[in-house]
Amino acid sequence: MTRRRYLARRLALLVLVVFGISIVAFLLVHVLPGDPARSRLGVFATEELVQLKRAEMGLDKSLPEQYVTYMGNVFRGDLGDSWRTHNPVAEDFVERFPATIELALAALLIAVVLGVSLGVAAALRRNGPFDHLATLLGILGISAPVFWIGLLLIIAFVTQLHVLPAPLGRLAPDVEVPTQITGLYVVDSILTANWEALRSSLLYLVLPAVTLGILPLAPITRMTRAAMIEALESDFVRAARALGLSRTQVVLKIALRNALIPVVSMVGLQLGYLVGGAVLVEIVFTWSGIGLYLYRSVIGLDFAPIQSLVLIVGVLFALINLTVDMLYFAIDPRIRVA
Amino acid sequence: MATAALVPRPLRSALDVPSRRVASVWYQVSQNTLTVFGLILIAVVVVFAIFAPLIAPANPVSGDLLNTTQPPSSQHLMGTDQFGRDIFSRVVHGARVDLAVAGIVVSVAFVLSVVLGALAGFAGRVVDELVMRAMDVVFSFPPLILAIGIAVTIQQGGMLSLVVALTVIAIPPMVRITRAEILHRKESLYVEAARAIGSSPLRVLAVHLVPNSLPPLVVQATLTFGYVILETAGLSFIGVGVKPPAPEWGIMVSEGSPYVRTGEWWISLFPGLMIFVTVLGFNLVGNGLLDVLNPRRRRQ
Repeated sequence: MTRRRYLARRLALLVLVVFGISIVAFLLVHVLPGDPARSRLGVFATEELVQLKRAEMGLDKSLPEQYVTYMGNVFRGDLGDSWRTHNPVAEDFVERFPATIELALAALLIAVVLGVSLGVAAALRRNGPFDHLATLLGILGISAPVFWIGLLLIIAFVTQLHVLPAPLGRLAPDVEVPTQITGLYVVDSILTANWEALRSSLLYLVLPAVTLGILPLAPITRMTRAAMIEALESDFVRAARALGLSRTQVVLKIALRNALIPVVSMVGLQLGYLVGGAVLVEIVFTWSGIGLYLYRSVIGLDFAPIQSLVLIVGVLFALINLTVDMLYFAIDPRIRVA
Repeated sequence: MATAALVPRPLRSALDVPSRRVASVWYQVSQNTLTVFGLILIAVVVVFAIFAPLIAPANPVSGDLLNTTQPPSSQHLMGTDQFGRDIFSRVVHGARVDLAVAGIVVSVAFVLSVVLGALAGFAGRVVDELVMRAMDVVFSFPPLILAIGIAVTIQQGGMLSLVVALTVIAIPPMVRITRAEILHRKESLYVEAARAIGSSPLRVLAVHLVPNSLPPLVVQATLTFGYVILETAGLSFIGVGVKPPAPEWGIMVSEGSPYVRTGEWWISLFPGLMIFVTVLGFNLVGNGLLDVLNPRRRRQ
């Protein structure tokens, strides 16, 4: 398949996927068994009032009409209002998004550093201690519930060893929030040379980041190990050895660099899954990102934020997948089929 | 396996009847320590589920309000929770809830995936495109977010909404596997032979293609079983799955989490451990089956 045809096909698929996601998000609220107008007004509202509210909310129109209105609003940046926080959902979302990004990036960083090192160590000595450790971590990563791991870490480091602060937020209550530049506390406090805030935010970040990092750790380790084994047995590594390069040079400069290509795409894909895991981790650590926001909306039956989050996260996930596929296609000439 | 190689080709397929195949798989599985360990874990949980009322020393939903948040002791093996309920009894009864949800989800997803995957792979063209693009759409959601969306939408259904949400996210990988198997086998000699002697397409599909495509699907179903238990617990932890006071593991971890911060660790620890042990069991068995059924993956 030529590059242009592949691109066209992939973009057509993206349009279809985004359309599907928007339909799912739309139906989420509009096929609810209950009457949103009535549930907003309470059981004591008169039938007349409910009818008025229905008209106001546009619920008396046909479903396709309502869908067009809904999508029109979305494209204007209007995601509806949360009746729990009394703010527009878009505003709430922008406010909380940096916290989730900070958590996800920190988790990914931990997973990449640990996963790649462990994967390389496992590949260098197959069936050695690091290989067994990698297998063990892999099984743990897909078998243990992430919220439970978070609680175990709290038990160990907070309530038993007393080395880390209680899991309540992103910063100690007596530390001032660093001036907002990116919204990522760690980055902001470095940029404003606020060392007290940096120390505090790092202490609060480490446990949730490690917890969330366990999810992508297993696949990254497995991928690195497999790619390294393949690279180490390849002709170019043999050639490098024959040229007399040192073992370190061969492993790090030649084999690892080639092995990292599939790992990079794997990391991209993991980003989407991290969002799902972030919901659970944010609940455990009362981390005020979009996961905790989603959780509180679910508990409070606040539908506008839930609907918007499904839409936004779904589209983001699709875009990440597309980018990763494109990168992969650009890097690896072998992928020219389907 | 060694004897099969000595048998001439026409006879070999006659010998390869399902019961023999199952026996051979069973033998190979039993050679792998980790897989056997996984089987034992699953067996323990299944025994818990079946004999829950006999094993559990106390009622799982009504507690003794004079004995709340007691640490593990000889009287309460895993301690008591904030309502004075015996955690061990709740953990044992929890096996029923979680295994039942996962059992239903995996069975329904299995049947639907075989039908959809076979349809897509066998009919091809428009049907194939329709089915597979629909799967792409489902696949392009982060699973937990999609499940939350579905579970919230049909929340009046209670347990039903949970089952529907988890079934939807379990289907796409199984459909892909089935379709790939069917596509791959459609061109094989035995299908051609069956066609040549006048078998109808439906018969070719039902008698030859589908049964031969099942092994990789069984592996996927085993792995899915563990995954569904994990997601059931996750959704219940968030509050959109099974509802309290049902003794579901995820709810129990969630109910204990505020107490973890004040040092009462046992309320969340043991139910979480049960989730881990059960999912671990299914993952070990799934990986073991994968090694047996797919020789390329076997380790030297």
